[in-house]
Amino acid sequence: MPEKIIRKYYDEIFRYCYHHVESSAVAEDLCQDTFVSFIEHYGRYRQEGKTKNYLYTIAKNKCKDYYKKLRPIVMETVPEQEAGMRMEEEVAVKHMVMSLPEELKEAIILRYFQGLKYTDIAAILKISSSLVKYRVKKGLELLAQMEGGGHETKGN
Amino acid sequence: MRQKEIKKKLKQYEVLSHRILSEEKESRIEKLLLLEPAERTRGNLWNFILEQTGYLERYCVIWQTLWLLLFLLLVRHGGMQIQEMESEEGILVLFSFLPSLLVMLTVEEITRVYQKTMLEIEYATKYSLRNVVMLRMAVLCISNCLILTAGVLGGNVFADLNVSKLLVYSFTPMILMTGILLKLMQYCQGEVLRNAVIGGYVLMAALAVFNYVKQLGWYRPECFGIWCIVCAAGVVFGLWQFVLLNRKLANCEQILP
Repeated sequence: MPEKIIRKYYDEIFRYCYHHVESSAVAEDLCQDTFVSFIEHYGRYRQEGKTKNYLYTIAKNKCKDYYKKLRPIVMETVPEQEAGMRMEEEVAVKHMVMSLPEELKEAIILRYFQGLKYTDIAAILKISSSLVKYRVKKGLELLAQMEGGGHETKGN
Repeated sequence: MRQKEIKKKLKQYEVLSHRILSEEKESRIEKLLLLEPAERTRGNLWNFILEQTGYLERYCVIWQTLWLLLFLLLVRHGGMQIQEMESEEGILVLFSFLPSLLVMLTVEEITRVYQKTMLEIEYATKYSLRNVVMLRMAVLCISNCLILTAGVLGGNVFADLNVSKLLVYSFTPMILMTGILLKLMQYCQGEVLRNAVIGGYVLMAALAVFNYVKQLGWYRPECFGIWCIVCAAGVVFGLWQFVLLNRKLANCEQILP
């Protein structure tokens, strides 16, 4: 039984799901679904890279499925744990990230919120490292533009 | 400038987000532990060998190709020099100096193959850590031998020397280096292992240079017999270390605390 793996990565995968769905309860379910899939399929798992990347790939797909069904509701959900942070600017930047196009958002979340290496992100998204770098760069540019726009509006 | 601020805020958010914790973690894990895990039946031994070979070669093939090109290039220029100088020693030094570099170039992958995170294999496949490490090491040894043989045969087109002699001069240092690597793998891993192997290579290179500078004549025809004995001893030493590593991995807690 891969108990050690579950304990080792539970918090990380939970946070990743939370960043996507912005609801603790939903993130709990998605995180559990991720590990259920892992346990059900790990007999067929190819041990080539890191197990962590494999878990991220499952979690990404679970979040994607969830988005397909419930996206409008999710976007309206109040991020209850973030409310306790009382760090407006940082939380605001998270919301800007959530409004990025799907591909850029995923790259930014994995790179900055989860702190993964480019090579790991490439393995999870099944794209090249250079494309990951491009997406992260593009995402940062868009975020800078959004923030610039926001500041101008505030100034006006 | 604005991007720097954004990066800073993203990093600050990352730090803050570590406060986001699952409130139901323990109860959820308890539920997960009640699940019946899938039987680990995927793939037969042949599939396993192909999978591991593909995984390793995806990373190593670039270094092996670069090494082969460098080897042929240096031998070609060295070969030309020999024809002018009528001295074999320079080219023989080259043939015995470069092969252990091949081991050093692939050591990066070996350290990746052999580290704490590999313990996850125990939980994730039907093969044990011992199976995976030993297979990957065997694949690396065989692929390095094939590359070196190709290099020697290709290089001899330019050098035009006795092939069996060249094979002994080139394989001996690589076999010794591999034996040392297998020995080191029994005591260290990761960064320490990499540095130890680099240290071993520097020592070998220093010996080659020392011989060349001091004119010790290790490459004289009468010393060839000693090279053959060292080569045979290296093979025995390497195989013995392979067996010892295999034994140590039977209880991986000893080797990977």
